[in-house]
Amino acid sequence: MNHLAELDALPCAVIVTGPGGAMLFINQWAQTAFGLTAAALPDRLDQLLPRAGQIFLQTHILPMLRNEGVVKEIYLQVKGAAALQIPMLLNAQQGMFGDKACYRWVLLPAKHRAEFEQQLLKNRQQMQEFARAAESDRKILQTVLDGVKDVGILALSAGGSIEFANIGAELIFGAEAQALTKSRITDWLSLPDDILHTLSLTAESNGNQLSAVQYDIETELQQNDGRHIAVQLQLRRLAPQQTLKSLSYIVIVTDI
Amino acid sequence: MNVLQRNNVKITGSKSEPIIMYAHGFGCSQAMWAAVTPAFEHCSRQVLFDFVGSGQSDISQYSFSRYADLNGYADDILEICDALELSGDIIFVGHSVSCSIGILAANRRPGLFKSMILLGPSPCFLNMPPDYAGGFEQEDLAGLIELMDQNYLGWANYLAPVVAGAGTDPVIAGQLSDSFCSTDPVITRHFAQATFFADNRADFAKLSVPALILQHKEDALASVAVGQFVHQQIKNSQFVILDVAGHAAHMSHPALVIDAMQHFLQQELHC
Repeated sequence: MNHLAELDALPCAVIVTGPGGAMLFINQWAQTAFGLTAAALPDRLDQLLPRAGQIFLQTHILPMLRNEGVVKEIYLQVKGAAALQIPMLLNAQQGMFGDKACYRWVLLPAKHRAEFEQQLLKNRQQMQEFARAAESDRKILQTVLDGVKDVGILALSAGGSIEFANIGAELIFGAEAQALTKSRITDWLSLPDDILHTLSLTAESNGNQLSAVQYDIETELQQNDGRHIAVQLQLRRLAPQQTLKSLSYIVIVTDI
Repeated sequence: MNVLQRNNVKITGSKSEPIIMYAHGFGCSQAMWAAVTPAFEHCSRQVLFDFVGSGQSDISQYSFSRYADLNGYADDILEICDALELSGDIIFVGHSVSCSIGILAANRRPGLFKSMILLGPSPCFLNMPPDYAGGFEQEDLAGLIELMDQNYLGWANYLAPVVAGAGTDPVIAGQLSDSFCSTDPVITRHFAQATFFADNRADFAKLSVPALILQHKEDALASVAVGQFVHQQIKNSQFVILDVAGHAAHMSHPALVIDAMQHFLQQELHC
């Protein structure tokens, strides 16, 4: 088998064109897959492409090929036999065809890959919709929580780190939410031993053994500027399955 | 905001020489002019730039509302001229959609351009029967958008915004790749919509600046019939058909483009 016959036997399209796109060689696999007859081969590469592909060829592929000498992994649809379009992956590079400058084009069928990628794009679109819905829900929740300006609402991790603080908490603690969420509840409030014990137990067991924890106490809060104020504190255990983040407690603080 | 940085403006040549401003088409960047500009470097002051969202422009300045149609790109041109304090006598050279963008800028600011060279212009890529055949149907262009969605250019960037939670007007961050034609796929898609769904036929008819139309002999994007339509619309225009197959003679056959430009500009340039 000679080299040309080897090219014809390859299970992909092998095409050679001049720099302007004039067809110099097209292998047998391509002729069959693209529904071409030897008597009526296209003169130019772009005749193999649907209109969308022709634009992409002119605006992206050929400029890149001219400038960089090579293009890799370009997704294209090629006109196939029986009016079908064949999803293909294209690699191309500059070369010499005898003594003429040429471009060599190799197109691999990529039907399954294209389906997979279409699914990825579909999933991406779906994720965007989910993200938009989640953001909208978050804004509603934030608006509700921030609407209660005379009550501080905190969410704590199992060990007592502050994971969330509303505007009410910012006002009562005299600190921004960003600062609050970098601290622990014990940095601000004097807590009785039984609460401290509960927090340490929760941290050790990751909260799994504790279910109904409920405290209602009056205590002292040291504000950001060092002033001390009396507050009422309500601490409630959150059911683990109710939260996505590792939140274990909700704390309501009221200036009294 | 520094417009010259935003649009990656590059200037060569003496201030005393005539000004040539080059605008690239949809797809790549100012690098597309690299084979043409050396022919004019000793006889002109050359201004090259990337539209925001293309090439090495500042992608963070991309606005989906501003660039929803070609007028936003015309704003880029006018703002670059303002930043360079260029108020007139500019020779504008545009490729493909930049011909339309340049004409929008010219109509908005009469006197800014002394002459225009339009390479592969198309005022409207869509067929508008019965009077006009731009060459493409709506479904062809929808297919182009789908093709670009599924392509690999910048895919990592394309998938990334989901992680952050994309809004209706996604924030574009980071830098475009150094690769010649690699642009952010979200922006490219948006630019494609602005380009291929535009109808600027009436704007071409309003142009009063002398223009040279350089038409590719075989061009799948802008046919000879489209070029002839442009010639009819622009009263003070010359029409030259280049013996070129394709849509980018400035890259594939720069000598032909240079010859045509030099001939057209012989009164203004002494190269």
